Amino acid sequence: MINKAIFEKTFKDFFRLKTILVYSVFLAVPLVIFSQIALEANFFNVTSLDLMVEYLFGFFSVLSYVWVSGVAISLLSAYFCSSMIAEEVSDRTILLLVTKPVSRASIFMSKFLAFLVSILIYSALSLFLSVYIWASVFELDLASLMVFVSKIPYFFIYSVFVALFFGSISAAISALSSSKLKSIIPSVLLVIVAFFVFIQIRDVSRDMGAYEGVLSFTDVGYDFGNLYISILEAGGVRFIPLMQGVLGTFTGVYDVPDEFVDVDYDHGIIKPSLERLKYRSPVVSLIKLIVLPGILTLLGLLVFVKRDIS
Amino acid sequence: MEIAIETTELTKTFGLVKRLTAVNNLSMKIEKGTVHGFIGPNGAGKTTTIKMITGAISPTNGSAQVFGEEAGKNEAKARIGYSPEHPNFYSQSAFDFLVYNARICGVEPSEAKERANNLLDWMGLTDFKNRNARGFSAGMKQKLGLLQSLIHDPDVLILDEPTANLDPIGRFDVLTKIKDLAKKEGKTILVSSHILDELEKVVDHVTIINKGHTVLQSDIHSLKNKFASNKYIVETANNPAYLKRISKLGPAKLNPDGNIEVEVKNPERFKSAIFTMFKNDTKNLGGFYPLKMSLENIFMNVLGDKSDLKNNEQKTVSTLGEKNDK
Ligand SMILES: Nc1ncnc2c1ncn2[C@@H]1O[C@H](COP(=O)(O)OP(=O)(O)OP(=O)(O)O)[C@@H](O)[C@H]1O
Ligand SMILES: [Mg+2]
Repeated sequence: MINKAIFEKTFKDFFRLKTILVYSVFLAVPLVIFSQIALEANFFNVTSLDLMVEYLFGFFSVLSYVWVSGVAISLLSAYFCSSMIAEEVSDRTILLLVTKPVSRASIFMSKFLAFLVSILIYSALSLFLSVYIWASVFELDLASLMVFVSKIPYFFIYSVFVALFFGSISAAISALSSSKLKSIIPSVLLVIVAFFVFIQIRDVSRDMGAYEGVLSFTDVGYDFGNLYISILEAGGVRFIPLMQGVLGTFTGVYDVPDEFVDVDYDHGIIKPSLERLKYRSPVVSLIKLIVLPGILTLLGLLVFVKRDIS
Repeated sequence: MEIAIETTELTKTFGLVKRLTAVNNLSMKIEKGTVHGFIGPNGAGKTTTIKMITGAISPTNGSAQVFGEEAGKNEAKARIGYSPEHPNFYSQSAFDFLVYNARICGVEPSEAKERANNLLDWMGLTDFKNRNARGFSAGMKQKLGLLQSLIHDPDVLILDEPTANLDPIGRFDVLTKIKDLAKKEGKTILVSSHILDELEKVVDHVTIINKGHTVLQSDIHSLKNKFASNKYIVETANNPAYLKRISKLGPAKLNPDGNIEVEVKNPERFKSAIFTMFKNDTKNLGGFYPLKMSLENIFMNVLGDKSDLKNNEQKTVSTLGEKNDK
């Protein structure tokens, strides 16, 4: 069912030096800028080393959710998957491919598998690179660094779900489109909505009682957050209330009190753990994030099998 | 005789709103081991038919089969090598492209490399094997397109205008090779082309299609017999003026070249009639000869009444006539 030659070529195309370099820079620049600003502002300059590591890890978790394993990996996935079929269609190389003795389902699946394997590698490398940048900027000692490294597998699992979700959307559109750009745009818009727009509208709509129902269902950012925090908790991570607050702002998973940001956390006020908002159980979020991409990928495959290539 | 390709009432309609039937109930049979010319005016539906046989597009109606296998299935595709009208390549070397295509077809890497080298050598492209195929000239692309169609050693070759972009030497070379593939390796070849005098030298069968359906299908030999010429061409100093007089010898008309084409029942009597007519007027007679039925002539003959070509030609003829009259 998997055509080795197609798998290998697609895989190699994803690991062109240019792609690796551009992506690394794209990934690293925001991290470097953010960590530099935090450093200059003495953001994490707290009394005890333990607390500092706690803060650093917490903020890294936020960055991982939003950027490293979030926006960055989802855009890369959209880019890869959009090229799977649509690029061959716009370059007109697809004609020879589909007339070779290999089924279209096999072409699609070989390419999708190449995407999956590639994105696993990119996800892992991105996390290592990010931890490396973070650790170098804040000059972490080995023991503190190991705290980060030991949690990479959990960030990684989350990353895979993000990649699958946005990749499958692009792959599905790619299967019926002749334009690489058109296959990326819906994913990019959804990335913006999931990771940024909902930060703005979640609280307001929740206060107005308009969140539950359609909005809540569309809020895949919440599902990602729900899954993310559950995965990290399963990995033994416990966030201090401050971090819960920051994560809650981005994911909508914690009930963040309005006055929360005004609390002077540097004076050691111990706040109670924030309440976890269960719009959906993490299991439901998990199913949603598996079933939706699954259906989309299947649809993409069916469309591609039936499609006229001229 | 075993049938290599068969289409049965093959139909393709494009578009949901503005519907266009590119191929309309087209039935044809291509016998194993033949070189089959597939001809028809621009837009007749040749490429669309070919794409249905190769499985790139699916028929709206009817079916196409390759050695009894439904077109588009792997079993059918395995037996076809397809060289498209306008081949396109990845950004990789010609050699890598051929190896990749062989590997897709399940050929082992070492064998794939050997085949790629042999084919490049056979086509005289060895010097360009490491150059990026995207940078190839149109003719080189066409040659590489032909090579990739052979990479899995298929029984049937479907070549859509394989010589369209080639220089005269290249055309001769490629046509000779096509002929060899049929003669020496027993491949069945379906080849479309507009260069009919060249095509004529390699094909033993033809199918002429127009507006999506078959107009004529025959082997070349019977075709030539059928269209055996009882026509003569007469060239004079003023053809429109002589047309009337020559019409008395048999049904005559101006052909697309502006010469007089006349149907003749008794050639001997016709010849003496012409000699008599021009006896005192020899300088006005350019020449006269039996119309040779080339494939091109047959094509014109068959489609002359049906295709849109005719209107254009009539226009040319009549303007010519007006000029001459003045
Ligand atoms: N993908 C398509 N969508 C819509 N119409 C198409 C498509 N492909 C071909 N056609 C139309 O179908 C008709 C037949 O085209 P086709 O390319 O099969 O002709 P052809 O015989 O190969 O012509 P040529 O000698 O110019 O190559 C044309 O009118 C063409 O415009
Ligand atoms: Mg054509």
